[in-house]
Amino acid sequence: MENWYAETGPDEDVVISSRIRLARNFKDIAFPARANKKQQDQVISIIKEALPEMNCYLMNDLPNLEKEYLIETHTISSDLAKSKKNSCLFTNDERASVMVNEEDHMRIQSVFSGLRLEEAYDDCLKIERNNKLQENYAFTYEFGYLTACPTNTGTGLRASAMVHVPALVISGKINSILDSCSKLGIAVRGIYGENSGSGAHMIQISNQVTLGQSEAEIIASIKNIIGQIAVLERQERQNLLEKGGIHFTDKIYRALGILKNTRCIDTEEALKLISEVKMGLDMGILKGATTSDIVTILTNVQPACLQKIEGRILTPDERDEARATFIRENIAKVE
Amino acid sequence: MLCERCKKNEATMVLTKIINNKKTVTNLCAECAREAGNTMQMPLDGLGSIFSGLLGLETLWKGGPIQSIGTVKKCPSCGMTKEDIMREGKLGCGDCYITFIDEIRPLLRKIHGNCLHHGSVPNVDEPVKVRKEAKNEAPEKSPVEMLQDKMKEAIAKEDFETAAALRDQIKELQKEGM
Ligand SMILES: [Zn+2]
Ligand SMILES: [Zn+2]
Repeated sequence: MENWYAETGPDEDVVISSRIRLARNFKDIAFPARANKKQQDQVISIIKEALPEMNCYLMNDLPNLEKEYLIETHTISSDLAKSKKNSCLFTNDERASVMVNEEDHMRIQSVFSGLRLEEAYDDCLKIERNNKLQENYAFTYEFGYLTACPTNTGTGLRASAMVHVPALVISGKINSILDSCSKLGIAVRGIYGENSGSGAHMIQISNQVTLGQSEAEIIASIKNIIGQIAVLERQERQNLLEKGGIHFTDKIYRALGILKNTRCIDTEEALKLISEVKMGLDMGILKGATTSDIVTILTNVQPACLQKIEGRILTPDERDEARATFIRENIAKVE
Repeated sequence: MLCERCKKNEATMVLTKIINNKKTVTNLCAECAREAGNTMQMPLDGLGSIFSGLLGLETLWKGGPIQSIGTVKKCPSCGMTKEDIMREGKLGCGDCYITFIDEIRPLLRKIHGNCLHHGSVPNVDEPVKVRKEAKNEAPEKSPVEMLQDKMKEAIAKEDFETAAALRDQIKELQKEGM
């Protein structure tokens, strides 16, 4: 699978990545939670036949570390990894992949760096529009694509973006934005860590309504909101710089100083400091690395990614040490 | 499973009787269920209950020695009852949408603000359609027209079962004012 985080994208100073997910089910087969083994196998064989170029990885056959890695890189959901059913991942060298027998028969998804929801959507369509699959979709003209959960019915489309908003978090202005998002039917949640994700100053923004609007309308409205948040974040970064002056710049250089010298560091602290260094780079205070370099570090300091790089299972203490070494080596060029 | 009363038709309903706190369950076909009469409508107040996971029946029964009879619809394909859907917040298969259409419509309206699909359609060249809509142009054909085309196709192929199903779908849509 191609790594979305190793490339540059539009608005990448604020928008880390764009993701599209399409939920599809097949008619005349019970949804996964209700399906028996035979029906789950039937789902897999329909997809295998329609997409012979993709490889199928059964979750039951994957080692835990591999599953954790796929979760950390947002390739699969933790629900898919946990599932005892015939859940699997269809993937190949292309960007788009398919989670099979999770909540729905198919969850087609594609992730791009920066603000590129349309590209991600077009990429998903390459799979979704497959003739053999289309013949089998559970669909009615009234309700659209039928999904296990009524919150996905209609387009089955979830458009989301991972947004880096350190200045809005520091100034506290993020709260009123989150407020208006929820009034507009936009879901917001923190990522990179369970508790609000405030460590890395990341939020995930996605549509809640899937029925009654076209795919284009849903994508346009999410894109519009994200664009507005990006403008506010940039303004706030300038604000902080003007008001904070030397204290603001100092905070960024201190973050870099710690990262360049640390000998052991936990995930949470690492994410917070890398987030500050990223803001410094985006604002031109620091130099020497691209946004994709930083997002690559941000991704790889997570426990499973780190162990994959090291090629072995690490104890928590060993991980903190390996994380520090990895960061020092990769952040050395930043000044 | 066959209807326990007429032993002729497929049972699609579960008749639940509570008399003096004693619950009996009988599987019936739609016809016999209707004849069983005195049908108690389930206390489906709004649809919020689908997520709160609470369904009135049990609580209602705790109310005392009320004599009540309830018929519970069952999805013919996956066996889900309204109770199951409420509890799990999820449907069991595509046919649940049709079986419980009267409950699903208001539920979807509550979640999404409306309950009529406006997005892509299988086998219709979607990227083209999406771009058209982005320019505020209406799709060339209404859903009813597209269904009518499919129905004609089915009739031409002498696939009358599909044609009949499409005819019903068209009727549903026309009722909804499409
Ligand atoms: Zn009967
Ligand atoms: Zn069903």
